[in-house]
Amino acid sequence: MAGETSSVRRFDVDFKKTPGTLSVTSTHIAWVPKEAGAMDRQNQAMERAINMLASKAGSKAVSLKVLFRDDIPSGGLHLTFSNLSTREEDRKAVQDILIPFVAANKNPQGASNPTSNAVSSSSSANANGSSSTNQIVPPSTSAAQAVLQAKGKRKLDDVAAEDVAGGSGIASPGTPGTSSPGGGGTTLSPAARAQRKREYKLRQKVLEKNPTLRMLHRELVIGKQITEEEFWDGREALIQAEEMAYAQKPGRASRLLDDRFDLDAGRKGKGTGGTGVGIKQNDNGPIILKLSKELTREIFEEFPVVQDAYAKYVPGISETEFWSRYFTSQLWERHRASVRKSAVDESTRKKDDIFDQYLEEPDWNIQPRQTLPDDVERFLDLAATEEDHGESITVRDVTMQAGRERSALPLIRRFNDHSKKLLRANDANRDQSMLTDSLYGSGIDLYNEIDLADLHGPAQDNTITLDVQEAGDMADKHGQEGAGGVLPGKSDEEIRSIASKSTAILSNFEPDFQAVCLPNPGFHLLNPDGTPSEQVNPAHEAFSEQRDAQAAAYYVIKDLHTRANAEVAINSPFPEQLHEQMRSCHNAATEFLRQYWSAILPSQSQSGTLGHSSVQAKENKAIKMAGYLKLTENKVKAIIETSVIMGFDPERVRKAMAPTVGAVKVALAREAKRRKKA
Amino acid sequence: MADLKTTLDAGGHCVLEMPSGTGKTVSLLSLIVSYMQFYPTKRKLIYCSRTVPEIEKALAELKRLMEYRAEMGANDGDFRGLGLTSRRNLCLHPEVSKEKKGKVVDSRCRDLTSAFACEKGRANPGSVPLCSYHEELNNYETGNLIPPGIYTIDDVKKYGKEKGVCPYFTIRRMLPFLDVVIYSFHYLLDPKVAEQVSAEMSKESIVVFDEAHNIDNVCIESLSIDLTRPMLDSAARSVNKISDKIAEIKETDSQKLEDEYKKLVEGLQEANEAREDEDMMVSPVLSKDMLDEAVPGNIRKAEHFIAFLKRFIEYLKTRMRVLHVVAETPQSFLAHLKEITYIEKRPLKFAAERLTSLVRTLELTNIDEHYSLQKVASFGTLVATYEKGFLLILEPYETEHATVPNPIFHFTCLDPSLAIAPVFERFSSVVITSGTISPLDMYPKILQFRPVTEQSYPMTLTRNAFLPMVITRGSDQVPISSRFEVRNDPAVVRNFGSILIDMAKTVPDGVVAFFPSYLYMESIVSAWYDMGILSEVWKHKLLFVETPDAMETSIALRNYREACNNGRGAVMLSVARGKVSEGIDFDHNYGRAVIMFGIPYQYTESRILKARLEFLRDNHRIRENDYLTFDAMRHAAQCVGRVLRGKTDWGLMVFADKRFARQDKRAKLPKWINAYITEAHSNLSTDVSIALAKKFIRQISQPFDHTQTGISLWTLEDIEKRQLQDKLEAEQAEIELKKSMANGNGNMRNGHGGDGQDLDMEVDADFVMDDYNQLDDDQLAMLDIPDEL
Repeated sequence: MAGETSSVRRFDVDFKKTPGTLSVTSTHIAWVPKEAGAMDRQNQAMERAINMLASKAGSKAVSLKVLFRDDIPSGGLHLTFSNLSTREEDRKAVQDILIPFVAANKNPQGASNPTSNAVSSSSSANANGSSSTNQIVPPSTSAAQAVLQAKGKRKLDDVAAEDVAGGSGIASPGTPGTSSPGGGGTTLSPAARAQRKREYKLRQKVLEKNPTLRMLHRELVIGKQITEEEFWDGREALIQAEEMAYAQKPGRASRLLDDRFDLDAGRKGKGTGGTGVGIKQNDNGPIILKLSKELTREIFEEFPVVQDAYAKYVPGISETEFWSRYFTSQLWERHRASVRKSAVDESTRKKDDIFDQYLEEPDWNIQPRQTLPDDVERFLDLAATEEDHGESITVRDVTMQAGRERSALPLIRRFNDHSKKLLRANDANRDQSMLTDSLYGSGIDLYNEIDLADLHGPAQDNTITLDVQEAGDMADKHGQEGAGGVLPGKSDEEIRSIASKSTAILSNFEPDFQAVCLPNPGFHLLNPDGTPSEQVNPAHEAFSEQRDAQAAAYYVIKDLHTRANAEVAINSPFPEQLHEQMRSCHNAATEFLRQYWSAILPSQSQSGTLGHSSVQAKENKAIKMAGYLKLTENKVKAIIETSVIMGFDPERVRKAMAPTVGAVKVALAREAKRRKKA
Repeated sequence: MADLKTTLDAGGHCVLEMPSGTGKTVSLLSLIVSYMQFYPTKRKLIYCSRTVPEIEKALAELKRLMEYRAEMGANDGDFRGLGLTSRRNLCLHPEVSKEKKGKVVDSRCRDLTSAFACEKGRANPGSVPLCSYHEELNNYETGNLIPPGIYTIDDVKKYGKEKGVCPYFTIRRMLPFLDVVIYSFHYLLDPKVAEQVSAEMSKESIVVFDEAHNIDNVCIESLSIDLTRPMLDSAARSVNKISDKIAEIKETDSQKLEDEYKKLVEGLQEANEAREDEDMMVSPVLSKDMLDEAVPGNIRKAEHFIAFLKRFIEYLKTRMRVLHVVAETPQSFLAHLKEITYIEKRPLKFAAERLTSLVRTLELTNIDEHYSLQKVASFGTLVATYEKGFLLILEPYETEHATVPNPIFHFTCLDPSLAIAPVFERFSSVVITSGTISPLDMYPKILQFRPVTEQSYPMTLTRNAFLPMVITRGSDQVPISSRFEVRNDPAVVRNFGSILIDMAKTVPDGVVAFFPSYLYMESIVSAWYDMGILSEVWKHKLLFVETPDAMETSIALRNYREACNNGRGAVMLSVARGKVSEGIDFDHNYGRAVIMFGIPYQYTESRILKARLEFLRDNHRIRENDYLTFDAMRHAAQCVGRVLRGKTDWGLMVFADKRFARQDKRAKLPKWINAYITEAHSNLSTDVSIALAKKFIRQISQPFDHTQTGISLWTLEDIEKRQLQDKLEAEQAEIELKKSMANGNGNMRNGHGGDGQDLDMEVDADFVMDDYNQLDDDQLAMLDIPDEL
């Protein structure tokens, strides 16, 4: 099939269900349809290939998905090997060719494009790129598991793969510096390993949810400044919260199970039969019903008889048969309890020996079939009233006879039942006595039922006395002031006279604008020689004086205003690159500080999932962090220099970084003191 | 309270409308109890309510009131108050109490406690099973079976359990010694029961009908009987059984029958003397003089009576074969009866009583088997007794379109005043009150009495605690209505559904929706289900629906309340005249919104209703439409009023029908609701109303100073001020009155020295001083009782 050693190898490959030929050269991968024009030709440079995904061994179609850089073409090339006899080998051959390229391309990608790695968890590509050397290793045999030990790619979800690799002893952990926990996993007990695996998953989820944290993680951990463990130390709360969020089981959907699955299932679970509610597709052919776990669970909960039947028969008949028989049985028809039931349907239903024995008359009599408890609170006991009045000897008119529409009754009963189940589902663990507060139960507060809140008298105000120190003094002082009145030290007479004076002024008040703003004396009063005449001189002088004063005041105020607003003036933004550097520096410093202080300070709990820190470990950590912190100042200086080079105001950078530097200095001073003491 | 006191003083009747949930029960009770305690001549209070839950609540209120009085130093001595309900609700017998049906419980109880059973059992222990609880009761002193005090129904049951006595008979035998009796309307209105239970009540008793908006229907129901074919068949079987028994007894113990015959000659009155507390088989009203008469000769002998009954049943069966509607008066029925079967009116009148006597003589057990026969006998008695105000209607088909005949023979009462007349005659003061009995003049008219006072009280609110809205159109502007022609229109059904969805989305906690009839609710619920509307509702709230079975509904209600309490929220669908609408409160979080889907009109095609409307038109000049609207609106108001309890409570009231926008409908709503329907809110589409509702909910949920002092709560000073003012006014009036009429003083009946706790409007000037002298401390303390007026 494939040319053994030629530079071009050809394979029969379908692309998008169109048969064609895949040609692989040393630099390019190209696909040409068999029928010309059936599909666009595909041609991609191998340098751009960043990942490969292969279908599981033993699955129906043997396919390979090749992803390219920048996601062009989008979704990559999905190739299905169509030559039945040799397709497995074909794929392997293609993979072998692609591996070096993928491995080489992956390294620089790993750090900056973590999202594309998300898909690699399910990857079974036979790639094993050793991080340090880019050396191509022959694909591992049976497990066909990828061991992507790329240096920058400390992707958490790969731990599963790592574990497998570690277990089978094929791949060794990467460079010692990464201190991969997966690598050391060989010595761990399976339980601990499972625990670790779970932890990794949780961490990953936390990172996914929290972009800032993810960035920090990338910078510090992937940038190998601190280890994974160190990073998470002190962040247990986040992981715990995440764990709790996942441990919380979603309640039952309140929707009533019915036969119209397509209502919202079509939107939700497109194509994925596993997650949707179950999709009923009726394209003129047989009805296809996708049963999900949830759906079966719901059916079991709703109709216990089905569960009963399932338990009895399913090992005997296949699950598919069980369900298909159920959905064509009369029992299902009953369970739907829909009112619109066609007669045709009824007749076409065939007899079913499993389900027909569960058939029972619909519960459509006035009396419910189910026996009811007799202990409802008196306040809700409708039966008591009904029986109290004796059997009504008159017949109510047609519209007021309950339960005349018999077909609606089972439906209504189902509603009530369903709602009750939903209600109970939430508090299944609750104290049962709460639910069955019987007639003599202590739970009923008779007076509570008749109490009218608004008829209570005004209650005593619930004031809290402030615990003021030297309250006595305060009171005394207050008392003195109180005695002094508005104007302390004045007698009543005086106050009264002041008051009367003020009133007099106010009542006789006349605004004297002339005194405030002088009128313009005008020019016509000037002498012909331009000097002001003697008579008007004082007026002119006064006027010009005032004018000058006003002008001076205006300048002063303007100056004050500009100065006052200088601080809030909008500065030009930091250049992107500089800003990035500053941010990174700050983030790193903050993290180091956090680590440092957490190492120095007495830890509050020794039981943290990650906190296996002994005193010695803490000491070591503190020293290490202090070492890191010492570098911070230089880093800041470097940034300032960069800003100078870029022509940006270095003072601003310094100011912006000042709090960080200050904090670092405090920590370092403290460290120096500590060391001296030691 | 002032109005109430005026009424009590005048010894007349009154109609009072007080907004629901403002404490009307406690206001009534506190005044009347003080009134009773003030006057040495003991006047009994008979307080009638509608449902058992309401009875229980009233008892609780009373109990609390008495506790308060005791706290305040009032010496009420051995004041007793009890509530009466059926055996089913009170029974403690280990087996009998398990029965669900009241009828069965009654019958089984009778087997264990009837006079002859007791006699036999005591004479020969072990031969006949007896109820130990009933036997235990004989060890107690008559009239002191239970210590003085107020007991709720549950309290009595608990007491009975402790002491091993029967609660039912405790209450029954204590009835004559009680100061306050609280029971259901039926014990006073239904002649079959009333004779037994309420006969001992003194004429001076004060009767209160609470929640009386439906009283006319209760009256009518208590005098109407419907017979169906299966019932007649069952009655025929009973007759055969009884005749077998007679033959048997004749052989063994013919003496017994002889004795009975002799008694019957002397008259029914004596025949009845022997019986104890058996209200099982009581005849419909027979006037006193009739009771003294001798039973007509032709039914005195047991065999003869049986033959008589057989003939009567046969006749009714023949009548039922007719396949067209027949409506006739009792007279024509009797005439026809006589023509065919030679049954005269007089013996027929005694049919029920004679049957009772026979059953007793034969010492029959399991009376519930003969229930149908009793019904037939009472039917006969009623037909023969009443001539006016009744109509016999034979309906061969249930509905217009039905093809299978299911004949029903209605003997229907058209005049509610017939049943209530004895009450008004016997008791001096009858108070009719409810939250919703507008228009007030309607009740005196149809019940034919003359009230001293008619009053409707508004509600004093410090804020608009409820928002009534009339939705007339859906969001798509299609008018919505439950009118028969359009009610099943998909557009209307969908619009009703979208109101429910939107309300479920918007309103927190509980939402209650009422439909005009069961039929409509059942059909609309399945339609909604098929339209996917209900799955929308489920996204927001749980859904509960009223079912035909009372117990089932109770449990649904309990779950509903639980869902409201735990924050899940729920929707309750029920029917406007149904079980839930009567006596279940949806206060506070149990009902933040009520939706009335359509106007709850009665089924207008009903022949009985038509006959009744005709009767009202002819006798009281009430137009058909007026009555129908009145009836519909009182039920609508009743449903809607369920949301409010107290002024701190709040809720939305949604009237979803375009006909609610019309003035003639709204005018018939009670004043306190109508006043809050603004013109702007009376013609809304769904989307606008939801926006309004959102705004309202946001506003109302703000923290609010709930102290009502000075508005609906008055302090002692407030009341004294008011009293003084009233007195001054009264004095002024008095002076003017004296001027105009020299002897105008004599005809004023009022409280000589009012008991000080009500706002006595017309205190005689001469007695002002006395008034103060008589205000003793505890009565002053009583002034703190909330005063709503």
